[in-house]
Amino acid sequence: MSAGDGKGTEAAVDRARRTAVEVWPVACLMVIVVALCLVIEAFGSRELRSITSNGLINLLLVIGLYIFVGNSRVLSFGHICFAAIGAYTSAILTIPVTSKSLVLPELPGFLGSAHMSTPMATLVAAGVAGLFALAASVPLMRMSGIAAGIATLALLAIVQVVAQNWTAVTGGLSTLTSIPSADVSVVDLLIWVLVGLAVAFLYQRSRFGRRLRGSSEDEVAARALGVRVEGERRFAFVLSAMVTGAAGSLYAHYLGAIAPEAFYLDLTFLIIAMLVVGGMRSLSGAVLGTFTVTALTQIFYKWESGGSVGPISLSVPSGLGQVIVAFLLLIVLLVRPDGLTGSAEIPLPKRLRPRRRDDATPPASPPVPEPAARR
Amino acid sequence: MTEVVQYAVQALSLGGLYALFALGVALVFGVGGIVNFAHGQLIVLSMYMVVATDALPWPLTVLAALLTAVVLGVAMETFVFRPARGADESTYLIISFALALAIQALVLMIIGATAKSTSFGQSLARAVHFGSVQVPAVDLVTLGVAVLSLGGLVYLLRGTRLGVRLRAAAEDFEMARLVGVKANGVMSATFALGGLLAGIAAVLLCASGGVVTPESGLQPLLIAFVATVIGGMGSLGGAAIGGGLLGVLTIVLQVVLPQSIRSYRDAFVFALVIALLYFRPAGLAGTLRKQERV
Repeated sequence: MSAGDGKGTEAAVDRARRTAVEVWPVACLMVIVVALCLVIEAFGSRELRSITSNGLINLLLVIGLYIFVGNSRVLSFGHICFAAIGAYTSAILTIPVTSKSLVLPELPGFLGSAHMSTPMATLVAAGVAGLFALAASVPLMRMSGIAAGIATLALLAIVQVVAQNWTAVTGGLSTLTSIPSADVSVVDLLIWVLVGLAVAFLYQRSRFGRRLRGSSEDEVAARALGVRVEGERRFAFVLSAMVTGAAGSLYAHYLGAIAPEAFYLDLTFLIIAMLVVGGMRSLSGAVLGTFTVTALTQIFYKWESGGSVGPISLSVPSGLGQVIVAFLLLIVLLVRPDGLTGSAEIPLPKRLRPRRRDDATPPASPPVPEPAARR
Repeated sequence: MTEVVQYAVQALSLGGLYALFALGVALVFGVGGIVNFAHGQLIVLSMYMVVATDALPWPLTVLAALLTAVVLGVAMETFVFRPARGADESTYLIISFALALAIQALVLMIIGATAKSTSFGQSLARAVHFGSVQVPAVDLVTLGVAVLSLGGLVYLLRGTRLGVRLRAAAEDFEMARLVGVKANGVMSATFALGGLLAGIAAVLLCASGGVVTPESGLQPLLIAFVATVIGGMGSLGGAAIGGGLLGVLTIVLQVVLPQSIRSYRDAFVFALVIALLYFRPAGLAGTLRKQERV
């Protein structure tokens, strides 16, 4: 490299620094999640490992919801229906053919003989959930944000009614068993979660994600600049449904047996609580919220069933855990509406920040004044 | 012919009940900009009150149920929504969602998940004969009460000073405050009215079904939400029509769907409604909400 290239090198360093600023938050999150899981995998008890698996699946569900809600600010109460679709798709594709004739004797045609590995089935599950979301998004995303959010609740009800009644395919109200559950380890789940984090991150810094974020800050201005808000919302909706569908598939394999009830309001509540408690506008919020709420519910669950957490053993009435989470959510909303993280991402240490002040702001949007509330 | 009349009465009565669900939600949204998830919990708690007091003479039972819903509605506004006043609609939405879940979790913990039944309204279980037409008495009562409640609400909004304040606040909250409408008073009145509608609906539900579980509020809430969306968010007339439409659609599908797929009825109702919204994304009575001027 000749001396004349000094300027070029400087520019390259600067570019690298700017990339570092963008990648830093998600890289941090990945390292934290991986480290935590590997430590638990190595030293934790069997029970703790199972809780970790559950937490990772929750995290993937939350990431799925975040991709749509966090970027569009349109709240969806129906995302768990994509998890249901993913779970049943994957279950049907992975239950061994021999047991399938027992648990789902009326399964139509080729589905009865279809069989594939869990990762493959999870991908198919994501695809099916995505297609369903695409169809649903045609009428949904034409509505105003708040009406769309409410209408997704009807979507959840539709899928629930179908899952409960379509006995030939879902087993109806009875629990669908024989789903292979031994083949999903913490490490497998960890890989899926890392993929989910990467998808969410790449989306939110892509032009699509930025357009959608812009429209959520100020819809009128975004439209004036030529952003097709409906189209951007639809894209995010389908993408987030795919991640949620994959998470649903993994959930089915984690449980080994599923019933429609498992994918209804309780799970919806839990996932929304996780996202909102952490801060629904940032990936860091999704991760922190999942961790907090999973830990809380598991601790109370342990106490409710008469166990002890570490040295502490409390006898609490059954159902207290859910009360606590609901009140935590309420308090966070009233005191700190942007969640525990304030919906910010993990900042880059000062030393590493680029010197130039222009366009080097971190991807986490700086505090922009809220668009005037309606009242 | 006889059958048609019977189904028509059934459809109208269900439509009336659904309109009551929807109006409670639409009123609170119209005035306060709050989509109230906890409306379903008001209905549930009011139903539990009916169960607890069904040994009393029926007017007292009704009074207790209505009071429960009104007091709780006002308490909700005072202790939860007032501290958050000025938040945007989606924050309100999650707050009310959290509140609904907190109440449901508390009910589940304290009262338990087992269904409670009540003898309230059993005297209405018989059929009334009009020539060859037989109609369950409870359907007629439901229809009558719904029509009376709607009429009362219209009178209240159009013919009283409180109604003028409420409509002014719904039109433009800040402007209404500037000309002397008390924000707290208006919001309390709105939630009291919303509670009253929830209470009436709860009493009617108890009279026709007679079973309460902590989840009893879900179906009414879903109906109310969907009806509000069909009607056009915030339009009271639209919500009432939306509720009525859902009720009629439910009965029509109940009759025309073949037996084998009848259990999917609710899925069909909601799917039809969502499909309808493709053509009118802003709802039947709605224009898309006024966008801020730039």
